[in-house]
Amino acid sequence: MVFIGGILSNIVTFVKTFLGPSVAFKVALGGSSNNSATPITQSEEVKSPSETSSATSVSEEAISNFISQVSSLVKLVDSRDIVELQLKQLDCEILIRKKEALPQPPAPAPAQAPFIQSYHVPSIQSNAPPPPALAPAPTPIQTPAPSPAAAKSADLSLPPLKSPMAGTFYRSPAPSEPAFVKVGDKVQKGQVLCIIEAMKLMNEIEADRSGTIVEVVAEDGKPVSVDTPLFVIKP
Amino acid sequence: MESEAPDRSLLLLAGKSNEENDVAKVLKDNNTLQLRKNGEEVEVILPSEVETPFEDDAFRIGEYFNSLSTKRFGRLLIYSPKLSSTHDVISQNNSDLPVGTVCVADVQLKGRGRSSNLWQSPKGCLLFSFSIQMEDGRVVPHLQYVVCLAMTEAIKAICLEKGVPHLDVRIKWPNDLYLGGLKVGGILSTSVYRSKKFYVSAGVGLNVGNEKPTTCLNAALKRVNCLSCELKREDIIAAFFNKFENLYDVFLKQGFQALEELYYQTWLHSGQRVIVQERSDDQDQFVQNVVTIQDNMLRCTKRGVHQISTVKSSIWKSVAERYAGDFGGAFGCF
Repeated sequence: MVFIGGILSNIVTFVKTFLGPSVAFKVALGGSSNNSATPITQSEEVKSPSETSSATSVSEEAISNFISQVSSLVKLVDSRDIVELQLKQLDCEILIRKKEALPQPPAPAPAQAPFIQSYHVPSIQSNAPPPPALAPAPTPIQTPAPSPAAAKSADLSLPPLKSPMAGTFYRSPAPSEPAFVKVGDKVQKGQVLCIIEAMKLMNEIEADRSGTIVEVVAEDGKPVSVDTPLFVIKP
Repeated sequence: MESEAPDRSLLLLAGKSNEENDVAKVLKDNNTLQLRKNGEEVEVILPSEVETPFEDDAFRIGEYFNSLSTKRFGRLLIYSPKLSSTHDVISQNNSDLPVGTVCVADVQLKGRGRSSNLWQSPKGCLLFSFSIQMEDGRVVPHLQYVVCLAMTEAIKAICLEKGVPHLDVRIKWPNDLYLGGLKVGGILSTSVYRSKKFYVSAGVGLNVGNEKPTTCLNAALKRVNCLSCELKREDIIAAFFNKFENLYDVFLKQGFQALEELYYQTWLHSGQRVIVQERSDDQDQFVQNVVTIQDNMLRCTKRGVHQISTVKSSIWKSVAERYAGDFGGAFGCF
């Protein structure tokens, strides 16, 4: 069970890296989803092959299979008019939910409860290119985490790069151009990460340290305030 | 208009006093000034190294410095007869330049506009960009209003000083200058946030003496039968910095509120019927209202205006994002 949890949190990181920005998602264990308040506009049940649930003898191959199945599920959800997809099999449950299905985050998020918000991923026009290899997920989390929340706290321990001003957050230099950076990119201190536009004044925000982008917190095209977290960079 | 960017852009570095001339020498000796992002080469020279004199209608550096009375702004000049963009010179070298360094060009081939717009500017236009460093992100967006205001105030002061008829140049929110219903100039500011500082490049283009394709300041003076009274670029830019330095000090010490009244007197929107697009409470929807602009309307909306356009022609649009609360009201909720 705990092991599966570790895998799942790896998958979260992996799929986020893989598909990046197109969808927001959440993985819960044992059907203990606590998002019952969210209306499910459209759902689709998918049977998964039996080996994904054989938790007692999970081989690397099985994990790899599982990851590729999850990633194709995410792609499926992303390509269709599905807002939310919930998949249950034995003690494993996967919930893929697009950002349209997420409740609006409360404006002043209390320190211990920004969990849902931290899964917000901005949308961009195109999907990230497919990863070179599917096998072990390229994740910074080494020890199996008991739950996604614990996995998240690893990221939360890193101080995010915050917005120095109020304005609109843009991930790319122009609407038709690719984003400055995406999750997984290595960045150098001084590299431009985003633009914040305030009353037609374009402000390029540079990385305050070198490292790897582990999370893009703010959403493309949405307003941000002073001190709104924008990126998490792992040194 | 079709001319290509020169292989190497000539940049002449000159200072108002020995102090700035020393800085100019260091910048040249260290080969500091570059236009790497453009893939352009620059050739930097000092006044003592000018071999062939510039053309008669080139920017007159001596006249400019004689009229300049500032302590910080405009005292180090980077002049070029022909340049891709003064904005690029300042923005790509901003960290290495003293605050207030100005770049002036006679002709600009790829002047910067918003949304990657490029402007070609023939002779007769006053084209310059200058460097500013700021620390408070809440006031950075308002800087462009101060730049607009400094320019309208400068034109006012020169007309008065030279005894020529008043030119009623007005600000079209947020960054254009209009005379008699036609655009005569624009302001573009960009900034880079680096090591807890905003390195701002503020650029101004003002049509002083070129009548084509629309109008210019001197054409307006001709129309009121003032044939001998032409405004000169050197006088205008010097007056601009003289005004800007004072307005900027007020702006930093007291906030934009202290300049609001002057701003309202100078913009062209008072009394206009406009459509205001405002963000709704959930931030994702827009609400449209038709309102008449009152001078105090900048303080009136709750969430901040997303877009404004005139009822008849939708000429002007603006994007101001939910400033209410962030800027203490001043322009906060435009």
